Amino acid sequence: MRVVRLIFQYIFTVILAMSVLVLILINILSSTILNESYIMSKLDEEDYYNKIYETAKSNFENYINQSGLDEEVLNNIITKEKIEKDTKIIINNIFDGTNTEIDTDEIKNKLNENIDNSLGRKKTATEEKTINEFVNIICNEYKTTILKTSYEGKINTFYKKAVTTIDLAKKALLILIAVLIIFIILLTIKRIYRLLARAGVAFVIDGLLLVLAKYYIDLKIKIETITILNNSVSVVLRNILRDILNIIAKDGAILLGLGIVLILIYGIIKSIRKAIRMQEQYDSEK
Amino acid sequence: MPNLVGNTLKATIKELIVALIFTALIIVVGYFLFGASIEEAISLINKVSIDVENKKEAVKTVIGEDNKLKNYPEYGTEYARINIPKIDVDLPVYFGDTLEVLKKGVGHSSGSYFPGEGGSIIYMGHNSKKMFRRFSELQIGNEIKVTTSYGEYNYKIYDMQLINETDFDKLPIQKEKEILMVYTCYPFNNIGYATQRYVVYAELQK
Repeated sequence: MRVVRLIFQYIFTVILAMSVLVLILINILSSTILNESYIMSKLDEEDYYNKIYETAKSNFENYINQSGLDEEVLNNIITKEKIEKDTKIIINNIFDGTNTEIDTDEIKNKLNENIDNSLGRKKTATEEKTINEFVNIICNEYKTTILKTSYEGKINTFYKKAVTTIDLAKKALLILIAVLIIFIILLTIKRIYRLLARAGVAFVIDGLLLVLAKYYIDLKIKIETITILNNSVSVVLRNILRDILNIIAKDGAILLGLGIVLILIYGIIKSIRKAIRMQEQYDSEK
Repeated sequence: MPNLVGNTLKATIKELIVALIFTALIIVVGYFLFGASIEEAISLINKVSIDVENKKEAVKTVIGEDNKLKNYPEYGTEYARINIPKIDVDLPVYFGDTLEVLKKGVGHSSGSYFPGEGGSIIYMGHNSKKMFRRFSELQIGNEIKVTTSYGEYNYKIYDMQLINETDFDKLPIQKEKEILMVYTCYPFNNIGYATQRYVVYAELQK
């Protein structure tokens, strides 16, 4: 009976460890990539808007050679403030489900004004058509550079689903953890201090898994060289991944430490009880 | 007292060993269940990793007896020069056709063959003064010389055509005959976005 009870204790311990682990991972996700204010703070931290501004200017220049226009026509057609405003619109579209369009009229007007000034004469009908095409291409290039896509709605649907699932999973895991703790208490009711050992083992397992996962990912993935879309996006993405790994390592170390402390307290209580028992036995024999 | 410390350590170590055994078991089971998916995800992520600092040393491009290149040039790098004496053009040719490449010189469409391979070669460049603005002066019979790191190739112009930017069938990819197709935007002194292309067709001289 004692062995069966012990086996059940360990089975519940492993399930407890896995539940805590999943809960931690879910919390990491919801506090980082699924958190709008976290993403916003990362963009600010990485000077994202300034970098995108430079990228946009460089992308516009790619079209100048074939346009027959002077490079000066691109002067001041965009501002860093506009990029910041539009990027925030896109993030709101993704996280809040809004459907705000990016207004490129300002760019269009400024670009047309610069072209008129540069030509210094009235455009011919053919020029009017090709210049309009050029202006549209620049506006589309602007949208591409700030990552305006038609998938925002789809991403928002996915995001909402992820948030709902995560909320449900969190509640379910908390209930499961509570139930497991009750089961372990029931199984250790005669020696309740054993609960410390079981919880300690669960935390050590979690701690080790998290720390090992961090080092495994560090070893296998070259985060410093991940490149997606453009350099500014890549830098932000790399920092988010680095943040997540650091949280994993930090949580892992805390759980490992906490687990060892709990096991140590269990060991102390157990040995004190043993000493008292031996003393009592000794006294009774005396 | 020593017994107390000894017993404490014994109990602690016993539980820690249990934790280690369970951790190892979870890792083994996890590897069997999700190992393949994890490896796949890692390789997918590493595919978008570009190691610019530890760039491989460039390997020299050579052409084999079967007319196939060995060690193709890296995308975005200069691998040849194009010389058109009639219009005083002498420009670097880069492998790739992005706007960033075209800012530096003549681009080589990555879907086409390389000089010497015996197929269609597609080059493109802007119609700026430094590049192909004088394309209208070219005539049938004029020469185009392409000097690569692995050999020199001379082509003779046999046709010129004005096409729309979406007329891809006018730039056919084939491997029966070595044809060099060089195009630029039209009109040459266009202002704005040009939707037409002026293509020069040249064949390899034996």
